[in-house]
Amino acid sequence: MQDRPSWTRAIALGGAGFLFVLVLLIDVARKNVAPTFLQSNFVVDVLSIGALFLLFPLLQNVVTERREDPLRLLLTLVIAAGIVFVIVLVCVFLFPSEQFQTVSGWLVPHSYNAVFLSLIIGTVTSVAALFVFLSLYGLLIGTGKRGTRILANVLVVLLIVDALSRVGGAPATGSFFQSAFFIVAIVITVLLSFRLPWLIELRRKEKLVALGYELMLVAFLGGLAGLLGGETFPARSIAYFSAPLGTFTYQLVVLGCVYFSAAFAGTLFHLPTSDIYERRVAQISSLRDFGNISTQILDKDQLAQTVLKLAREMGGARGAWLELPGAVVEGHGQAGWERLSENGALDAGSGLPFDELRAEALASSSVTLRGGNLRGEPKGLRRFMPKLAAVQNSFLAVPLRVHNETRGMLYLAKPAGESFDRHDIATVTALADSAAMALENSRLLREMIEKERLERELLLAQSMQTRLLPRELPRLPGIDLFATSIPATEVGGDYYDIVHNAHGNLSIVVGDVSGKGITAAFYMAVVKGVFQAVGQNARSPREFLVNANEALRGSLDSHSFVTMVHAIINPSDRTMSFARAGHCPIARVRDSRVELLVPRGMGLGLASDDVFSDSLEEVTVPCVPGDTYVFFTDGVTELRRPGGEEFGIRRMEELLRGTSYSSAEATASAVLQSLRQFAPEGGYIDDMTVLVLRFVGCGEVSTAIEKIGD
Amino acid sequence: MDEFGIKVSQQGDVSVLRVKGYLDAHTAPELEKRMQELISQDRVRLVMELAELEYISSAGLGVFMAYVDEVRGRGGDIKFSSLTPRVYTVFDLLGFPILYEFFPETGEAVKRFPHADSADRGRA
Repeated sequence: MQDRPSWTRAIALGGAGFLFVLVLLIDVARKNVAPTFLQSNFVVDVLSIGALFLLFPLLQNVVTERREDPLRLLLTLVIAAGIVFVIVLVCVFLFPSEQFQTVSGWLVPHSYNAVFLSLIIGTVTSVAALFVFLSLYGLLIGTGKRGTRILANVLVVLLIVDALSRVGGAPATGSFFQSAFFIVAIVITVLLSFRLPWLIELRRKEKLVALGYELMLVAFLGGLAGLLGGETFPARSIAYFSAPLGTFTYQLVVLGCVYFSAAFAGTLFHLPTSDIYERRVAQISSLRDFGNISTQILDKDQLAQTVLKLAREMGGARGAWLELPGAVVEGHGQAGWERLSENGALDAGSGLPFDELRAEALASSSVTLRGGNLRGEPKGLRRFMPKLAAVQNSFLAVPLRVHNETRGMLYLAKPAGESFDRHDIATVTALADSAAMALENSRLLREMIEKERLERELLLAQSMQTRLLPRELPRLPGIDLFATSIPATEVGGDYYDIVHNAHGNLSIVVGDVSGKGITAAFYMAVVKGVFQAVGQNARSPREFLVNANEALRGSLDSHSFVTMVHAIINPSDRTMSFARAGHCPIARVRDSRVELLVPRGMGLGLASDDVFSDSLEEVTVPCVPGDTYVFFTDGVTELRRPGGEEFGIRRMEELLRGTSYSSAEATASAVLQSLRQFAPEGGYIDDMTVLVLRFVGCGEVSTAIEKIGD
Repeated sequence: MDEFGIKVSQQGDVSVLRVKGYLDAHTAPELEKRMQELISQDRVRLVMELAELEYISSAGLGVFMAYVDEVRGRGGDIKFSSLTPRVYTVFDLLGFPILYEFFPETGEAVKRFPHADSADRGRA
């Protein structure tokens, strides 16, 4: 409204000023002739009403701007009424009422001074009256109900009709009450004064301020009513200025005084209830705030603290506790409850009847207990009577539910003598509902984040693992080698490698690290390091594995171990030596017969070097062309199909026995194909590694190749 | 497949843990928790009755390894009983029988703990 163009305001002000000047000129002109000269009484009334009409939108603006803030509007009214009161009071003292004479019912000014002053007083008071009128209307209409609106509108019509009926009439000083209209108007004002829609929303402090304003308004308007109702100079001035406006002014002053007297009483009356009102407002806004922030709090404890603080404040309670279901304990069946109290709360809640209240609240919705007195409380609680009778505090217990599932309990306690009312229960229940939802949300979100973190870790571990495996295998004449590894989605840690060692031999390792994800990948890197370092110089699998055990015992945690098969092929004496450290058997295929070789040996990292070394058995076999050795990890034999059935060592034996394959790669492919057929869904939970070694010769330049090739 | 589960019973001063189902990376923490509870109550004479154990992964095996030193240090032991041949193979391949005692029946395993428990307690 403030952005109304300034030129319209200028036009309105200018127009009104112009009309007032016209009135002044007419008044001056008719001073020495009859007031009814040339119907000037009509002209003056119409002009002054017209001037006020032009000022109407400007005043309306002032009221509209302040309507949302009743206190500000009241203050403006107080200031306006105060100024007018002072002006009128000063005039009463300065000028005698004899400045106007009554001649056959009409007022005649004694001097030009009186003419001039009457215009000023009349203008100021009628503008003030219009302002009071608009303010009252604004206050009543603002948030009022339909009935209030109708009454207010009736009042407006009455006042306007009364004023207009006096246009051109003789001034009616001292005879305002003769108007039946005015009596009805007063009755309506009294009726309206019971309605104080603007008052309800004020806080206690604001109501106290309003009381002060109302008192001042009653004083100023009452004073004005007294001064303007008698035979005083200002009273005669406004009557002379304009009969309808003078009446209007006087009536508004009286009505305003009546209304604000009643409002003063009403404010006093509402004062004691404002605490309750304020708490309700605070409760609602707390609930809304909680709704907003709860989605941003991820941490369970932080969320719990927020709920506790809000619940205590909203329920007007002294203490608050939140219970969340704890971990399920095997055998006991029922979940325990983890109880949280507000940080810094003095009473940890020990000795309070949580179990009894919970049992009762879970069976219904909410439970209240008023200290020591069970009357009117849920009947089920009576069975706890002996314990509860000793409790002096008042309690409120509300379950936290999501989709009819209980996700926790909320307890509030008040000191003895206070209790929880219906409204407290309703608000706390509403909070419990949002809290349950928020806790559920944060749980789901945490789960999701954890899942994403694990997925990222797995991806990282998988790529690490892939890079740790050899890109290509070294070649040795007379030896046909093939190795492959299928990484798992969950558990990983298979490792294989083949190097030429420092003694001109071929060193082969197949291992399986326990653990999963990043941990497994880390241990795999350790194993690779050990193999690259120790494997280079070890003369025998025993030497290598004993060294590896020593190295790994230092770096593995107490839960972890590594199983491994290590083999060394020695081309100079055409033998292969191998040893098994807790690993799967080694399959040897010879003339379509399959033999599982299981030399004794413990996993790496399980026992001290002595125990490990004593248990380790090393086997040396001659390189027999045509012999195929298959090394694998337990991911292969422990592969499960959805029904739970394992691939198993027997199936492996059968597969290898079935056909004699032409190459190491063909053998490995057959194994892989069989595995895929067994469990076609993929998503293996453990790595599967197969390394096939087929002797054609034994590492020397070999005529055997040609021999076999034929 | 059956649900994983652990039932603890007392036979004298020996705690018998009957583990059934799949003992893998998902269920191992639960076994670990129960063992910790027992050890914290100074119950260090433990028999793992694994008749109903269908499968054990490296994570499951790791639990036994993790506590054996502490249990033995406090005068107790972890013994195994009633394993199915298939599950025994897993323990066997890894070399567990070198470090732990295995028995066909729980009663036998319980009996193998020395009776003079007061002496043992004194040592702990």
